[in-house]
Amino acid sequence: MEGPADILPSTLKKSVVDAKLLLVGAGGIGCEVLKNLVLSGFKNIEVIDLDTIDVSNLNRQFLFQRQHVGKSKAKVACEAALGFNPSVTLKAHHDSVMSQEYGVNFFKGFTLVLNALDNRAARNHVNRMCLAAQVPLVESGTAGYLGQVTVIKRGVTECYECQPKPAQKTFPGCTIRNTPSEPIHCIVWAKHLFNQLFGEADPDEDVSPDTADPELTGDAAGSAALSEPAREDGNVERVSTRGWAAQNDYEPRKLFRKLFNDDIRYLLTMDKLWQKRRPPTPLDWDTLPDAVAGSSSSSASDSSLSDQRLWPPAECAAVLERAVGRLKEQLAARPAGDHLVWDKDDENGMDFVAACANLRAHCFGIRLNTRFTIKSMAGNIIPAIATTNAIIAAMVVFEAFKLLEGRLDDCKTVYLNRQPNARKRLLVPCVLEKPNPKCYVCAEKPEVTVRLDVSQMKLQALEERVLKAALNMVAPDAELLDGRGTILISSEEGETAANAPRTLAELGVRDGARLRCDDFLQNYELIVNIVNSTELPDGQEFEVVGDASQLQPAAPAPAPADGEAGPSSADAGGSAAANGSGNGAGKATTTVDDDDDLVCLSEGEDGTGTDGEVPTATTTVGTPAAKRPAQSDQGTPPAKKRRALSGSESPEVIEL
Amino acid sequence: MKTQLGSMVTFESGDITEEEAALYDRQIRLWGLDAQKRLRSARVLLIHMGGLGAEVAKNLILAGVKSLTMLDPNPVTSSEASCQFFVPAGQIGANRAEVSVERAQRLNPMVSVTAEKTPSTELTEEQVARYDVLVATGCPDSELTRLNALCRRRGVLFLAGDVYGFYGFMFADLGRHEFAEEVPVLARPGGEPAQKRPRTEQPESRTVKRTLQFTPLEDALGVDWNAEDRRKTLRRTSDVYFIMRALRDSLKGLPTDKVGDAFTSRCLGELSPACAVVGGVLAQEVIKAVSQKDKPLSNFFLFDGYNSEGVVETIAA
Repeated sequence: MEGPADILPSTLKKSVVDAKLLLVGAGGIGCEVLKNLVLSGFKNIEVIDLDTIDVSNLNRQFLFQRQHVGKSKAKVACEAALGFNPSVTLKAHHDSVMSQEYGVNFFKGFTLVLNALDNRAARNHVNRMCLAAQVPLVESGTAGYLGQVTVIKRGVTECYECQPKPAQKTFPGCTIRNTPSEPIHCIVWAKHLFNQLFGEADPDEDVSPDTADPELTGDAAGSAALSEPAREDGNVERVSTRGWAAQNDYEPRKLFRKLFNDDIRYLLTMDKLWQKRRPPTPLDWDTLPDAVAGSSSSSASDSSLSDQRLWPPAECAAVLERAVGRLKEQLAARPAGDHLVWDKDDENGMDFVAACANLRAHCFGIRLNTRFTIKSMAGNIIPAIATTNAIIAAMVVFEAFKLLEGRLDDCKTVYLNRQPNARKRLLVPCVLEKPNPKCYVCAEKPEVTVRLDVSQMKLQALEERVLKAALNMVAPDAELLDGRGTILISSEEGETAANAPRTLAELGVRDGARLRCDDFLQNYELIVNIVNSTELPDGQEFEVVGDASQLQPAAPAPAPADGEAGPSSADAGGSAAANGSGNGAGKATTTVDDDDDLVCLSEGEDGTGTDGEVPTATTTVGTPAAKRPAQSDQGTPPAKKRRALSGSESPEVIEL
Repeated sequence: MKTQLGSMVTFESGDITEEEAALYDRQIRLWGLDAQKRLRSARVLLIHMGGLGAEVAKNLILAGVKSLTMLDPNPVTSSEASCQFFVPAGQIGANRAEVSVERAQRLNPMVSVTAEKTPSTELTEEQVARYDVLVATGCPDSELTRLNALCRRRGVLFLAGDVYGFYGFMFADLGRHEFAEEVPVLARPGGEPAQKRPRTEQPESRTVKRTLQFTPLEDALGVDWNAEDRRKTLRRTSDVYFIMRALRDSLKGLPTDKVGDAFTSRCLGELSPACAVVGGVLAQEVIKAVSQKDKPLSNFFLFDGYNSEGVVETIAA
């Protein structure tokens, strides 16, 4: 009987029929890859995705329809693909690929792994699992019109983490709390405020005036606090924002008065801040303008969509009042002690952030934005379209064909450009890079250097923010190589809990110390060299340096030089920093959430989005985009160029 | 003729509803509300529902055109099993277009999806004029040039494509096409250097209006590659163009050194991922053409899946 594999060349047919594939992500790219695989004659495929289907997926994730909203992407995708060819064997896992269930042996069960993810943490993790299991990996990502596919094979090519990726965009805490100058600062503040009031309160996300602002010298802050008559607690020791709100029953006008009047007036007393800045203006609920300054405003002419209309401050206050009322009810409906989780697709949470960001912007004389624009920035949405995903997903399959035919030498990194390059190529094949011998992931004996202040950093921060967030370990163990084998962190519950609140110095970690860190799940061992440093650039509590020779501060990367491919990097902040580019922002971070299909190697759209989507706490788009070649194809993009790209701005929205 | 398109678009565009805004959110964030409005007033005629036709249909229905008419007189054969995902199992012998409607419609209830069994060779100028765009797949050159001429006369955008195993192509004749293009704004006069400026969310750009004149397929195919004055162009023209010509016609009259034979086992049937690449490019070009946003590819896109390469060639008399 005739099957789809019959049109394949004989050199390929048998290996296609016999192959067992793992597809990680069933979003924008994943749906398209799955369709191509089934229609190309593959018989045995497992699909893993922890995400569920959202309405905004339906414009491109074509295996899903309205009646599937809320259901598992992996399951619905497999059911739909079975409709194309009922004789294939598909298995769906509605789960995180980073879960302990999927160890190295699980990965070893596959001929190839295909990534269709939307965040860097999951990409890093699958990269390590495939390196450990010695299974070839095809990585992919899209952002808007741009896309990329590459092949990773241990010992032969670069791994996903061989080159630095653009760091997560972060802002110093004092900019967010005291001196915002751009819309994004107000948006980050509003998201922090949401968490303070309704979400998981994080001390690093304080939204009140910051008296420890380095711009203030000694006396200014302290005396200002005492001389401020409007403060209700009359005390420098302040009640938590949540506690204060609860005491006042989340009464919107009282919240408004505290946030946009009392706190602003308090900021005004820190006069050093305003010597060279326009001071903010405290707002009064009853006298807010009900028209947008500069009038005739509005970004899109089409104003029937509330999202696209610029709300005047009075309307922001009304939206705030409504959203706070509803969020208070949502919070009350939860078990005691539970909290809400901000989601850009939750109407009330998004209304709250849009209204608060604009009110704060109004205080500081910063341009207001539409809810539509604020949603892009707050949700770090990467636009995604069906056509780009379809093309990139197909290129994933062509690279898989090469691997199955034993044509590893012919495998390429393929870029989809928006316009043809100087050599007329729209789809540009480039030679795969060799592994970076200093890669802290795929090198024979991986090492990495981390600069931090051993007298300030607590062990818990080392575990959570350095080892897990920046270095992407899932459940690390850490041993101090001091000749005695002191165990600092154990992945066994509770064994080393007493160490958590102690500083590294108290635990015997000093400049030059070496820590052997091990992640059992990833089968990954890494030596972390500690360099003590008390002067890290603004707000950072640590910095990951590829190797000690790179210790001099990296020059800020210039903007992408390459007009042709035109991508700016799409990497949205994410939790994981790659080699040499980590910065641990202990302070305010734009947490990206989600979505997307991202790129640079990444599409997942929306980490939500991504088309690939995999879930992890922070969604980032990991983009391997760091190396989009300019005009050259068939050739290695010069290292210089790549580095330049990798430093480009992380996007609130972007194409790559 | 193009003005005809322009006026039609303006006439039909109403406001985007909240429902549409939610469904199309991720693409509106890319191409904007105006482009989406133009898209949703476009009527597309798609000829032949093989693997490539299915990809084009999927992408355009998802994008939200006004209507898509699938025209195909042919019955489903066993080979559709390998690439046509709209055809349910067990439908061999049924009409390819009619049997595709149900699954195609499910992708987006806001698009009117219909089927017609008329052979494309019987399409008249009046029938063609009922559409804004005609996309022809699986047609011989003679039929493509006939349809292209009908489209030209009535100001209908014409695109075509085909897939042969690992290879495929797209062709576009948009007549005299006006479009808006965003160009980056260089350093502001007298302003600070770029690095000093505060980084804002979007790089600055401005929209400019451009015009591109296309060539009919007949003229493009009429190029004599052996002519003296073509030699220089020939050297820089992609092999894939000639492979495509060889696959469509015969080797007769073509420079044979451009056509190897190592690929023959790779040019059979409509390989699914090749359909996805060519169908993706074709649909994106329809979207660009209808929304009059961004520079279209002019005028051939040539795909080689064996070498993972896609080239754009401008071939004009």
